[in-house]
Formats: sequence, C-alpha cells, structure tokens
Amino acid sequence: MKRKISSLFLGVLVFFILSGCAGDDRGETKRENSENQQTASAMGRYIEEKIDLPVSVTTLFDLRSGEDGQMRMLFEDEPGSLYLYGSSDEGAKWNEQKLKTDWLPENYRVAAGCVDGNGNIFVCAGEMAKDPMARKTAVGIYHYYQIDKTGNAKEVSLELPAAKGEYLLMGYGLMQSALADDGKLYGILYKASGEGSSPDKVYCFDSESGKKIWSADMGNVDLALFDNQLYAYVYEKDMLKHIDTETGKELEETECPYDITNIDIKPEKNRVYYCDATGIYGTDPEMGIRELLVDGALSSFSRIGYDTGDLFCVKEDVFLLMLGSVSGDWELYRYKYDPSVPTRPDNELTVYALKENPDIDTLVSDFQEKHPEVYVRYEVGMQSESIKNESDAINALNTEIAAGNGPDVLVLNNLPWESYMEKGILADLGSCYEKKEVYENLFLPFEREGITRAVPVAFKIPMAGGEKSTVSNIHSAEELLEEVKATEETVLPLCISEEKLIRFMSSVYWQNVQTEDGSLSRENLSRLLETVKQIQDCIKSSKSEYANSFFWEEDENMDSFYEYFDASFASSDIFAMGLAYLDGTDSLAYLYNYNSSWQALSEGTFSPLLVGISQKSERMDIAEEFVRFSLSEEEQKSFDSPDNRVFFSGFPVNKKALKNMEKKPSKSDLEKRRLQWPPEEAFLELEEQIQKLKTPAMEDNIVMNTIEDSAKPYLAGEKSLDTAVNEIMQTLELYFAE
Amino acid sequence: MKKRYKKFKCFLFLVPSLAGVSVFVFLPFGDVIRRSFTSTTGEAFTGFQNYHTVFTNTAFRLAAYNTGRFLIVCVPLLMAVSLFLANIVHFQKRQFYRRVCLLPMAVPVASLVFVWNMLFHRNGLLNSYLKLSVDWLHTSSAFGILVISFLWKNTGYYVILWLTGLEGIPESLYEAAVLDGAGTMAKFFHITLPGLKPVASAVLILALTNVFKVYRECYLLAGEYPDKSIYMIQHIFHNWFRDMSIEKMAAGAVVVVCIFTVIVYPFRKKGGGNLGTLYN
Repeated sequence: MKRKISSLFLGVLVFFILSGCAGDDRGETKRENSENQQTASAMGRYIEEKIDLPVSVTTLFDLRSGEDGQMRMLFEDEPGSLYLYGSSDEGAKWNEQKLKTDWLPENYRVAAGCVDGNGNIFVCAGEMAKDPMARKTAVGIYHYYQIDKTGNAKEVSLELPAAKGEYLLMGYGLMQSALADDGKLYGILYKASGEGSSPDKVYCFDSESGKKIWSADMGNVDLALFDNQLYAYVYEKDMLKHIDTETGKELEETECPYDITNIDIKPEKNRVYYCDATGIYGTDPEMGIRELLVDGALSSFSRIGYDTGDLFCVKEDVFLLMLGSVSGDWELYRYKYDPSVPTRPDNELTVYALKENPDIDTLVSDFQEKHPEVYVRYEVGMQSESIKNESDAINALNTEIAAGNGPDVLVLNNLPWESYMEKGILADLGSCYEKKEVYENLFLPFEREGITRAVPVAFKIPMAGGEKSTVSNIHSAEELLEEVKATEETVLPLCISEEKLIRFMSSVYWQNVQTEDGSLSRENLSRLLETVKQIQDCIKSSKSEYANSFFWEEDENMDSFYEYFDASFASSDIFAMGLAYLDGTDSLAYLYNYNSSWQALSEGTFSPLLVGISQKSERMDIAEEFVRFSLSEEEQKSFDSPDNRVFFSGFPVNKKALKNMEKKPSKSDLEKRRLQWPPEEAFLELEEQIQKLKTPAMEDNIVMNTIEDSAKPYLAGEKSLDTAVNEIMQTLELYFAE
Repeated sequence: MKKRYKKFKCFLFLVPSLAGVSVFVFLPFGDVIRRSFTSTTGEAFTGFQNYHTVFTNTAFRLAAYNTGRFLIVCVPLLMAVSLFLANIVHFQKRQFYRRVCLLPMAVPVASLVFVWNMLFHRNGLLNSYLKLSVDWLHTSSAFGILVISFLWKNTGYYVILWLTGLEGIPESLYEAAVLDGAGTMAKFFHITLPGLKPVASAVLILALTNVFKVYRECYLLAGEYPDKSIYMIQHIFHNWFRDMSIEKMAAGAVVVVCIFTVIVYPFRKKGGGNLGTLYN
C-alpha cells in the first residue's frame, strides 16, 4: 500500500516536471504565432506629406472647413499682406483665392483674421509701429473689415469700449477672432498694460452690424471655434471650457493639458484630437482613454526644432498640422491614413546615449527624416526611472550588450569607450568615412591597431576668450593663473563657476598629469590643483560688486558636450576672460563682434562627440548608414547653416562642411542676427588650430568625479593639498590598474 | 533490483531541486568557466591568458589580499566572540541577550551605513567628540570600522547557531565531568568544543560566505573606489563589469570559487554529523 502511494506520488511529480519541460516548444510556437499575428495585423499608418505653398506662412490666422467641403486658410507672409487659400481635396492641393486688399489702409497690417465655413472673412487691422524695434506690430486703435465671399469688403464698427490713451501704445482691439457660420464674431479684446498688451474680456458681435451681443470676463484665455461651437482654454487651470454662443456662459469644462491650437474638437462625433511631440491622438471629450493615431517618432513634428501649431482634423483619416520652424515660418503637413503600409517600418535602429544631448536629437531626427523606411529609437540611459546614477545606467547598458540586446549605435561620451574598444565591443567604422574628407588628426586618437572603432562626429576646442592682449599669453595653466592675478580688482577674472573650474581645468590639462605610459604624475597633479586653488582664490577675493551675485545653473542629466558657448561675457565689463569651448563659427563671429579674441588652451586638446556601433548589432548596415550619414558633408553642413532649425554645438569634422560654415552669410541674415562676419584671417587661424588637435580632453566620469570629489574640500580649505592628491592618486591608480 | 529502485526513487525526489539549482547555479557557472577561457565577446579562445591577466593584475591582487585579510581577521574573531557569548548565554542563563541578539541583523544595511557615516565622517560625531578632523572612512582606519561593523551585525546570528550546538550536548557529560573534578576550562576543551564540532563546520562555512556580503556596507559607505584597505574582490568585479571586462570577471570568479572550495572542503569532510564520533 505504502509502495503504491509513493509510486503514485512519484508519478505525479514526474508528470508535472515533464509537462513543464515540454511546454517550451508549444510556448515558442505560440510566441511565433502571436508575433506572426501581430506582424500580420500591424498594417496601416498615417503617411506624412509636406504641402508646399507658393507663399510662406508667417502668421496663420484661420483654417476652416465648410459644409461645401471646401477648406480655407487665411494667413499673411509679411506684414501688410493677406492671403486666402482654398482646397477641395481634403487639403492635398491648395489654390489661391485672390483677395483684393485695397481696403487695407496704407501701412496697416492684419492683426487678427478669421474665415467662416461659407468663405466670409472678418479682419482686424492696425497701423504698423514706426519704431524698428517693434517689428511692425499693429498699434493704435484697430479697424475692422468684413469681406464677403465675393471679395467685397466693408468697414465695420464694433461696439467696444472707448480706448484710453495708454492702450494705444501696443494696439487696442479684437484678437483671436473667430467667425461662426451664423455671422457671429467672437474675439478677445486686447489692450496695452505695462510693457505689453493683455487680454480683457471675450466679446461676441454681430459681424454685419458690429453690435455687441454679449461680453464675458474669462480671464487669460485662448478662444477657438470647433464646428461653430465656442471653446475657451484657461491657461492657469489647464481647463477647456465649452461656452454658450448665445449668452457667453460656461456650459461645461474639461481638464486639458494641451494648448488649444493643438486641439481639434468634433462635437458631433464626440471626439477630441490633440497633438504633442509624441504624436496625434484621438480621445473622448473627457480626455480619458486616448488612441495614438499619428506616431510622432515617424513624423516631422517630433523632430527637434519644430513646434506644433494648429491641428485640424479633416476627417478621421486625414489631418492637417501646421509646424513652426526655428526660421519663424509655418509649414503645412498633411497626414493621410494608408492601410497598405506597415504600422511601423520593419527596420529598426536603436541609438543610445547615456545623457540627454540635443545634438544627437538633431542627428536622429535628420536621419529619420531621410530614412522613413527605418524606425529610429533614441534611448537616453539616465532618463530611465529605475536608474539612479551613471554607474547604474552603464551597468544596465552592459547587461543588455552582454545579453546581445544592446543598442545598435552608441554615443560614447560618458561611456567607458576605451574599454569597449579594447574588448571588441565596437565594430570597425573604417568604411563609414573617407579619410581625405575629414580632419584625420581628430580620428587618429581613436584608432587602435589600425582599426577605427569610434569616430568623432563633431568637436569643440577648449579656449580662453577675452581681450587679445590678455588671452594671447595663455599657453598653460600657470600662465592662465598669471593673467587672472593681473586682472583688476573690480573685475571678475573668469566667467566660469567654481564647480566647473576644477572639472574644466582637469579635463583640459589632463595630458600633463597622465604620461604616455599611463602612469600619473603626482607632482603635476599637485601643481594643477594648486593652480586651480589660486585661481579660485583670486576670483573669491575680487572686489567686483558681482562677485557673489551669479547663479550658475547646471543640468546634471545633460551631456556636457552640449553646453553651448555664450560669448556675451566677452562684451561685458563684469568679466576679464571666459573659459569655455569654442563650438562653431557663430561663436567665433560673436567673439569678433565683441572685440574679443580666443586662445586654445593646452594646445592640441579637443572635446569630441563620439559615436560607435555595437559589434553585435543585428542591423549593422543601417547602423553604418547612420554613422555615414552623421559624417556626411550634407548633414555636417547643417550644423551651423543660417536656416538651421536648431543650434548644433560643435564644429563639423568634415572639411568641406567647415569651409561652408566659414562662408560669409547673406547680408539679410547678418542683419537679422546682428553680426559682423570675421575676416578670413580669423578662419585661417581656426583651421591652423584644428590641424594641431590631437588629444581628446579627459572626459572619463570616474576620473573627473574623483578629482572633483577630492579637490572640492581642498579648494574650500577643508583639506590639505597632500591629502587631496593622495586620495586622487590612490583612486585613480586603482582605476587604471584594473 | 529493489535496492536500485530505491536509489532511483530517492534520486527522483532530488530532481526538482536539482533542476532549479542546475538552471540557476550550475549551468551559469559552467558558462562562466567557459567565458574564462574566451575573449569578452566569447568568440575567440584565449586559453589561460585571462587567468594570467587576473593574477598579474595589481588591483585584483590588492582586492584578493584585502578580502583574505578580512577573512582571516573576521572569521576567527566572529567565531570566538559568538562562541564566548553563546557560552555565557547557555551556562549563565542570560536569556535576555538571546532575545535581542538578532536585532542588529534586522537593521537595514542602508540605515546602518547612514549611522556609520554620521559617526565616522570628517564632520561626524566621533571627530567632534575627539576634536579631530580625520576622514575615518577614507583612510586605513576604514578596515577596522568595517570589521567592527561586520562583527556587530553578525555576532548574534552565530550565537544562535552555537547555542543550537550547545543544547545538543547532553548535560550528563558535564555532570560526570564535575564529579571527576573537571574545571570550567577542562569542560570547555574536552566536552564543549568536541561536542560543537558538527556545528562548527556549519558556522565556519556560513561565516566565510557572510564575509563576502560585507561588500554591501563597503560599497554604500565608500563607493566604487574606497580606501585601499577595504578594496574587496567584489569591488573589482563590479568595476570590471562596468568596463565590460567579462573575461576577467569570469577568470576571477573561477579563481575565487577554487580558493573557497579548497578552504571549505576539508572542514566538510571532517565535520561529520554524528555526536558518536566523539567516542571513536
């Protein structure tokens, strides 16, 4: 009996074990089936199409669709102009509907305009300010014009309160106007207050007679008409209010974190659409469950340098979106659903950076734009919620790499790239660039045994900026100290924070501390720390009235490579010199404009933006294409072009791209930027310096953090120099010995 | 046939645990051994190159030395102190300590580290009391602090283990010894210690494994690069992982396991489990 029971028990145990083991195959099949199903069903995507208009849109007044199926867009391209464009094919093609503007008085511009579903237009116009600093803003009392669909215009007098003298400085009249199909005109009265103009009340008028129907005090709101229903967005509360068009009273309100221009409401269909950088979403009026319709990652509006503007839902599968670029113009994009296209491109590329870096954002978004067949995922290690510090992030990354799931492209700044190179973690990038097209001296430090596994995409030069007579003498840390000591008492010697000073100096002069054989020189380290302390003491003992009034804000999660150079210090009487990185021809131009010069510190040192490809990448060809793209002349030229969407921090490594950057911009562009372009000698000097660059600055976080942690108490007088140096030496000797 | 069936039946009962241990311990360790003979990416066979690198690495040698030193200092101290306290509790009936001895183990490591920082920081309580300005945690004193911390935290647990062993020794032996005129030390050396042999091997093995856990306090106190005196094996493993030196980690791990096995194995063989060995 006992034997039977134990045999039965054994049998049950074995059965369970075997069933657990046997589950694998079925599980794999299930997984495969599930993946196949997902692949099979994951079709359909909104395809982006840029709609080019013959005229640029600098101010969009209104975009409406009518019951006749016509869409109408009212805008201006420059002050004093007015255009009406129409589309009868859901926004795919637009034709100008000629508008006579002889009703607009001379030197007047349209301050606000709106169009209804029938093609009637209402315009508020004011005289352009004569002060050139005011950039032709409409000032004075506004005039109002109604233009019917046949183009006949008549002036309308709106029943508004009389304007006081001070209101006229910045313009007094109706803004954010909206014209309903029933002829009601809605708008917010703006009047000057203080140094700008502020909203007063919301008004409703009869657009024909100008008679006031109602007015309501709603505070600081934005207005919009959706399907002839009036909505007001209250900024302070992030609330969207539905307003009764008859009385101006509030009907209901919904919490809404989005700007009203980024929303389109279809009350009849009970749908709300909104957009942000991540995509266009559809949701219910309570903004509960949302559905991603247009993936921002595959569209232009997630790209850096673009701002989302007016969103318009033509119908559920067609959207129009105005995107604002850095140049100030608006661009019209159309998104139409295509069920035959995969939801997400089959090819995926993962780009990883430890810290946030807008320069990488730019490269990623430019690559995505040029390669719509690739889905680029950009990961920032420090942005993960579970990551507390850099060490955690690097460990997490290494775990992924070791498991074979690592990213394809690695931005190597702040990562142990030397170790990765030695271990064969990074792939050979020799085929990704032509040596004669780039500054080879910048690539040589990253070559090991003839193979290049990491490449600089951009670089910066550490420098001291200030008066030529001052900075030209600086060729070492000691000479910098001499110049600091020679500064007048009433002027702050350096424009740099205390925390940054030790890191900057250690990074730039590290080659004096670590010899070629890898050993550390205690003497040179002591000398460097002593020099930094003396510089700091000089700054602290300055009798400048600004000595303690500067607040240096730093973002720990931002890659320090991105910190951009502000040359304005050179023009101020507050600082004698600045320590920074020269990062573009614009920076050079600004120094020149401020009658300042620059001197490369620690000759031959540069700070690179470094990228590499994981050896285990399954998408090696796409990853190589990304690196190739980043180093291409075309992309590198965009780092600092006049119509650049964003400011890219760093010089291009491509020779032709740099030459292009040195070209004098157009007169209008120089006027716009208020710049004088430096003479050719300045660029020859720059190129000469670039040719001498051969040593990457020390940017290893372990080294920098060790120096900073031990040096800070010494610089504050809490520790002796010997103690600080001993601590640093001990830690770094261990680190390099590992 | 019956015997073979019996053995097979016994083995089957082991299968679930064995499967788990194989999947989570043996197989991964097998992979570690494999990786110790290959490059980082696991593609190239490097022979004993990694072992050579590890043995000639000054940082590894320092870490091994410190870990060995910590072991040699802490384990005998721990066993001796906990045995002493266990004897007091058992023979002098100090039951109160028995109730509170495990409290230090219940203190979370992070909180403990916080307290040590408060005490031993440059601006901590100890310096303010002694009117000094020594950074205890970043000098060679850190080793002593770590030893004290380890003993404070773990002694209670081993007291309980020793007490278990002491309670297994029959009272009649002590009574017989008293009748024969044996004193306290004689009873200790001739009855208590032999009687605790089975427990001693378990205590020793546990103490040896617990020594490695001191890395938690070490890391929280002093980070990835502490003072040289407390730079342990786990520090170098952690830092090697950060640098993706997987092959060195693997070789180092195999070396550590071998050393650990050599230390522990003799004690397992001689430990036995039967008090009857006392009389053999």
